[in-house]
Amino acid sequence: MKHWWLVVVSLVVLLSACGSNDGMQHGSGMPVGNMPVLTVGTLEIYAPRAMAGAKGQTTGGFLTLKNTGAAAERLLGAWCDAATMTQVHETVMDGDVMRMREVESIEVPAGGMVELKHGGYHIMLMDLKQDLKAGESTLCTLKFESAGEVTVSFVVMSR
Amino acid sequence: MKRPFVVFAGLVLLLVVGIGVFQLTRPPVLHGTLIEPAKPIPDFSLQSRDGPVSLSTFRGRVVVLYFGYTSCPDVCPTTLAHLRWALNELGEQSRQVQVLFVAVDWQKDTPERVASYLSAFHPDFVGLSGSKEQIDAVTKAFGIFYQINPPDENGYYTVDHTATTLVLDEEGRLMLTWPYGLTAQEMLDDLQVVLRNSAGR
Repeated sequence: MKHWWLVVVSLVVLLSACGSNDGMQHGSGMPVGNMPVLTVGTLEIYAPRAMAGAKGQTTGGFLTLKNTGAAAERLLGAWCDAATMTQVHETVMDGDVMRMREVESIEVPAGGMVELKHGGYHIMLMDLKQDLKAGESTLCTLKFESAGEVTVSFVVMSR
Repeated sequence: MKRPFVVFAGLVLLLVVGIGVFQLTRPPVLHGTLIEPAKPIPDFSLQSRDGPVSLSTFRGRVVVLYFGYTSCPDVCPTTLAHLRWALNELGEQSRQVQVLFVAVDWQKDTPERVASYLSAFHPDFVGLSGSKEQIDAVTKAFGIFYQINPPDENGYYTVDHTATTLVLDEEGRLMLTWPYGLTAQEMLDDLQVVLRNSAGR
C-alpha cells in the first residue's frame, strides 16, 4: 500500500469533523494549583476562594484540603470576616431536588484529599457585612481537629 | 496517476460527503428532555423590581425559567452563570431568549433583593418574587418542588428546591427541561436547536 498516508490523513480529517463538541465546563471549581497556600503539619490547603456577592447576600467559599498524614483530619468549622455567620454545608441532589444541609465536620482521610466545590461541600458566607468584589480577599479561620485553628485568605472570584 | 489511487480517493471522497449529508440531515439531538406535545401553562403574574410581570409579556420569545432563592450560594449561581455564557454566545439571537428567575423564598426574597442578586449575572435576567400563595401556585403549575426548612438557632435556614431549568416556547408552552448538571455548552446547543426550529415555523 503506497498511499497509506492518505488513509491516515482522511481518518484524521473525518475524526476531527465528527468530534467538534468539547462540552465546555463552565463555572466549575478552579483547578488546584501545584502549591498549597498553607501547610500545617500534614494538612495542606489549596486554592481558597469565595464567590463575589453584595452586602446582605449569601455566597459560597471553596477550597481543597489534602492530608499527607497517617491519621484522618477533620474540618470542624469556619468563620469568615466578611460574613455575619459562617456555616459548612453540603449540597445533595435528591433526584431533581437540590437540598443543602449544614454538616458537623468534613473528614479528610489519611493520605487523601477533599474538594469543597460547586455541587458538594462548601463554606457558606451568610449575610455579608459588605460587598465582596472580585479581586478582593477575605480572611476565614478554619478549625481542624488536629491542626487546630488556621486563618487563610480567600480570593474573591467573579460569579 | 495510477488507477487504484483514483478509485481509492474517490471512495474516500464519497465517504466524506456521505457523513456530511448524514450529519446535516439527522434530527438534532437535545441534551435536555423534550416535552411533546409542549404543555400549555396558565398565565401568572409576579413582582419584579420594576413592577408586576406576567408570563404572557414574553410571548414571541423563548423563555428560560429557573426556580431558586438568593441565599443559594452553590447550585443557583452555577446555573445562572451557564445561562449568561450561553446567552453571550448566542449574540444577536439572545434577544429572542428571556431568562426568568423565580425566587421561591417568599419569606426573604423581595423584588429588590432578587434584582440585586441577578445583576451580578446578566442585566437582562428578570427576577420574580411573590407571596406564598403566588409562589405555591406557580411552582405547582410547573411541577417544581420547594420547601423552606426550619431556621436554626440563629434564624438561618436553607431552601430545598427542584434544580431543573425549564424552557418555554414562544407561545408560553413548556417544551424542554434541563436537569441540573448540564454544561453551558449543552444549554447553548439546545437553545440553538430551539431557536432554529422556531424560526422555521
